[in-house]
Amino acid sequence: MKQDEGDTITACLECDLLLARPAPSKSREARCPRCGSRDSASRYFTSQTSLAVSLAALIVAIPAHLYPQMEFTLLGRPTTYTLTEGALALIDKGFLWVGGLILLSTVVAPLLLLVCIALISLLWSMQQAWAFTARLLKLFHYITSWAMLDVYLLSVIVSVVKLLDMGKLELSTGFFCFVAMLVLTTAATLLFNSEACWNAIEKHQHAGD
Amino acid sequence: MLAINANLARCHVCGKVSHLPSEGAFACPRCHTPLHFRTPYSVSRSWAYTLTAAICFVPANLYPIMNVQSIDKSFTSTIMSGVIDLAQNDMLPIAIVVFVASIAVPLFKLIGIIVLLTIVQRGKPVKRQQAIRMYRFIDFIGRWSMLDIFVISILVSLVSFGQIASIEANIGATAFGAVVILTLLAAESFDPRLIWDLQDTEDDRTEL
Ligand SMILES: [Zn+2]
Ligand SMILES: [Zn+2]
Repeated sequence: MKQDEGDTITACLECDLLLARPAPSKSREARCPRCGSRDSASRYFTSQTSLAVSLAALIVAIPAHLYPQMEFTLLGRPTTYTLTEGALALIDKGFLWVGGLILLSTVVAPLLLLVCIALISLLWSMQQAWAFTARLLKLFHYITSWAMLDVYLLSVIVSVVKLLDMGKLELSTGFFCFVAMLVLTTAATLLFNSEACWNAIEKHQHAGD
Repeated sequence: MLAINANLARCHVCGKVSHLPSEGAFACPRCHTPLHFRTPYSVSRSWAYTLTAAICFVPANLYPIMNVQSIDKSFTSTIMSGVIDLAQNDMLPIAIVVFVASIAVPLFKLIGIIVLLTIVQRGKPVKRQQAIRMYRFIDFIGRWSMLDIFVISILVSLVSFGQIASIEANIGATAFGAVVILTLLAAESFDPRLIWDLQDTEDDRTEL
């Protein structure tokens, strides 16, 4: 199998300095000596850990989407709120654009992200369907910056504070499942290394030649 | 040595470093994304997004983002009046959080990107380490401006008691959403390598 420049050389994405490709490291990401930026491609990646964490996140995602996050009671009349309801309420009231944006950043992007990580890790361990893995990796690349679960968590807290003096408010099951999902999604994203996956695809293509 | 000087470019999607011919279009051999030494039209695209965002920033702050109706009172709320309301109700920490996320961050981002774009276009020596820190900060904080948009959606959905009390979204929310997206796109279009292509004011110590 022929090694080419892609395997031994890399370039800093922030300052364009040519570098020797750092060895994967469990402890820390490699830093560029010129500008100091971290290179996430030097992360240590194992498909088993990645698969386990992303599957766990997908499992808690089910109750996080189905159970109400909070219950608000005003003059004895309760309403509940589920993760997707805010976006759908805005779309329903004609704020199509803003509602769609919220749906994308709190539901569609995070779920797609998790499905991508889980499937890529699974296919990697099975050493199969490389072309499909490449498509998933591209989807992962474009969707990743649109997932904003962390921002959403802060906005739940702000909403709770705003409503406290109006009526009675209680957080419920859906919220706690959501927090678990957020923690696991963050872990899955930090444990994932898309460049390691691209390298595997390339090695497989060379082996096939 | 820089990758561009060796006619090499790293693919921004898959990370592969490839030889790039000096003329003509070239796609990454591994993932087929078009390859360039620097993001094409980075500065003009970033300017376009930034200026549009700056224009949307005006209605986002002037028009109400929410209508609040309850039995005893009914009022519209702008971003700033929401912050003042929280502060007056002894919820200063949350008021600060909302102020930072909804007003300070977008404003800082707009000014920051304009400064970076001006620096790059002037082409004079700069303190590159300072400029790149500003770029990283802008890139990191941008998404937190979505806070108020999410809050509106939660309130609209939760406070719907018909005649008794209800909260509706208003036109300011759409403008504010546009500001957030446009500043995100502006930061994404900006190629940080352009900062490092400039000379440093200190000396050429860091030039490798
Ligand atoms: Zn660098
Ligand atoms: Zn590529």
